[in-house]
Amino acid sequence: MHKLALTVMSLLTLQSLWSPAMSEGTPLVPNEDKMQSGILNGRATIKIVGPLHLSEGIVVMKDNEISVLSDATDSIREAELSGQLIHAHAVGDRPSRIIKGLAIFTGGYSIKALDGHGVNESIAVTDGSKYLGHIIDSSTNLLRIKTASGVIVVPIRNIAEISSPRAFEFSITANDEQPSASDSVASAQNRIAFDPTLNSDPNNISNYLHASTVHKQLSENHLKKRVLTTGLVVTGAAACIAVPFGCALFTQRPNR
Amino acid sequence: MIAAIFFAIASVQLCTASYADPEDLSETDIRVEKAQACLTCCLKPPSLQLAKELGLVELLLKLRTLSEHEKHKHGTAPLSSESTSLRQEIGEVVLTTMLQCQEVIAEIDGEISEADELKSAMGNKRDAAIKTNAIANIVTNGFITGVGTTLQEPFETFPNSRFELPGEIIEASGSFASAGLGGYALKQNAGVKLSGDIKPNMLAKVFKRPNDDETEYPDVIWRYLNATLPGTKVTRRQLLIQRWEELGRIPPQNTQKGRLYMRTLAGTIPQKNTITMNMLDDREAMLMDVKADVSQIYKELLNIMLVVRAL
Repeated sequence: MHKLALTVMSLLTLQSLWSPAMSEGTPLVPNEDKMQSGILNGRATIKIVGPLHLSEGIVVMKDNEISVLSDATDSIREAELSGQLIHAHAVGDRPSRIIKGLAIFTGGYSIKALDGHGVNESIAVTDGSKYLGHIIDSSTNLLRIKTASGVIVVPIRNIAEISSPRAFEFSITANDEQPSASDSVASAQNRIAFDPTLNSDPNNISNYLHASTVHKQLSENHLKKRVLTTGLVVTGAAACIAVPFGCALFTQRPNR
Repeated sequence: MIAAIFFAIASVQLCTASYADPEDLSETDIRVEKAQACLTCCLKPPSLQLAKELGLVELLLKLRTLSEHEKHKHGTAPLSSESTSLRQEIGEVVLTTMLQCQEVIAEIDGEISEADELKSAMGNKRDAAIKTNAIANIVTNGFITGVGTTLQEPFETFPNSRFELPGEIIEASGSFASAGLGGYALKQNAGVKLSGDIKPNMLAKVFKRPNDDETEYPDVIWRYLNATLPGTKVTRRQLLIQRWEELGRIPPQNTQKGRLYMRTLAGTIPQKNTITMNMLDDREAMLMDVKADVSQIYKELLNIMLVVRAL
């Protein structure tokens, strides 16, 4: 009885992680390599995302929205990274099924840590076009990229390839062996891995940039600001004396 | 009679030799006796914990069964190859752990030095600003108020009181300006506020925030910080954070304000006008606390090596 309950729970957990899009109507066929895109819900543990190391990282996926949390006790609002999952599909048979796709991060506390210095992001579309610029926003169906010619909205279903320090190819190894009855532990047995779509420069100069930015602020002279402030103070002082004195000079002497 | 006295003296010496005072034994000898009797009794609980973590307990037990302490101490006969190999293995593990500690301490020292340097530069800027404020205060409170007061004097050459009211107005303006500058000086006392990019430091992992390659802790050090203290249910890391909360360095971590300040201290969010002297003070103090905790590993390693020497 106990084994049966565990087996049912394992199936339910895996099923909760993956569900085909209801609008498409075609059931998932596990033997085919190319799967139709579906909607992902669930949790998985994560250790590394790009340059970020997370000792107890958790990834929460809800309706293809992804949030990376540093700690299981953090709320979604305090996510380190948040974004969208694109082209999620399952590969392989149970129990070694792997879920793959693309993840593009557009928000979160640590989003700026993913950015490379002077890197251009690109989106290749199914019709052969390619857009170069900076990805600014994403939603369930659309991606916005700011190019030299303005903001372009690209439907997600038309995206063939993304090359960006904020975009990653993800793969989730779903663990069917769920020894624990606790939801939070059982769901965290899934592991997600992120592979970058853009290889960053090994000679990363971001640390030097940070130091130089801070030192530059300290050595800034603000000459214009100081001249303006001094001028205002002197003018104010002169006005404090001159205005009442001037009024007194030009008013009629009181008769005594 | 004389023979009896000699016999008595010899008996006393024999008795004292048979029942030697334990206080006469050296620390090393005491340790040797203890190690031969019970290895785990010889190691303090934190040292035993670390030895288990490093996988050294089995090696120490094997070394103890070889009972080659006298050979090792006097170097009279060559040690068995197994003993030599065990000692070498233990030495390598201890040395590697020491170097890993040094790596963490070096990184922390670098960050403390950087914070010190920034604080010094910010302090100089603050002092310059306060000096300017003092000069401005002299001008307003001294000069303007003085002019106002002078105008109120009943000059004999000016028999009317035309300048009395303007003098009072000027005096009042000087006083108000002085009060305003004084208030501004209080704000300047906090020092300048700087901005910076995301740059995680060694506090990031302690606060369970994202860190990078440079601020990563070696596994053994991280497990040591996350191990519960013997006899308690609190880990060293949790104890550190508790202490910082008690000292008021960080707001409670279960509040949003606390979590945001932890991110600021750890450098894991963009630092927009949040790099202040007070924040750098807190960061420096916390880094020193972490460094002190990590350095405790040396004591445990020394305890382990002393036991190795005793076996």
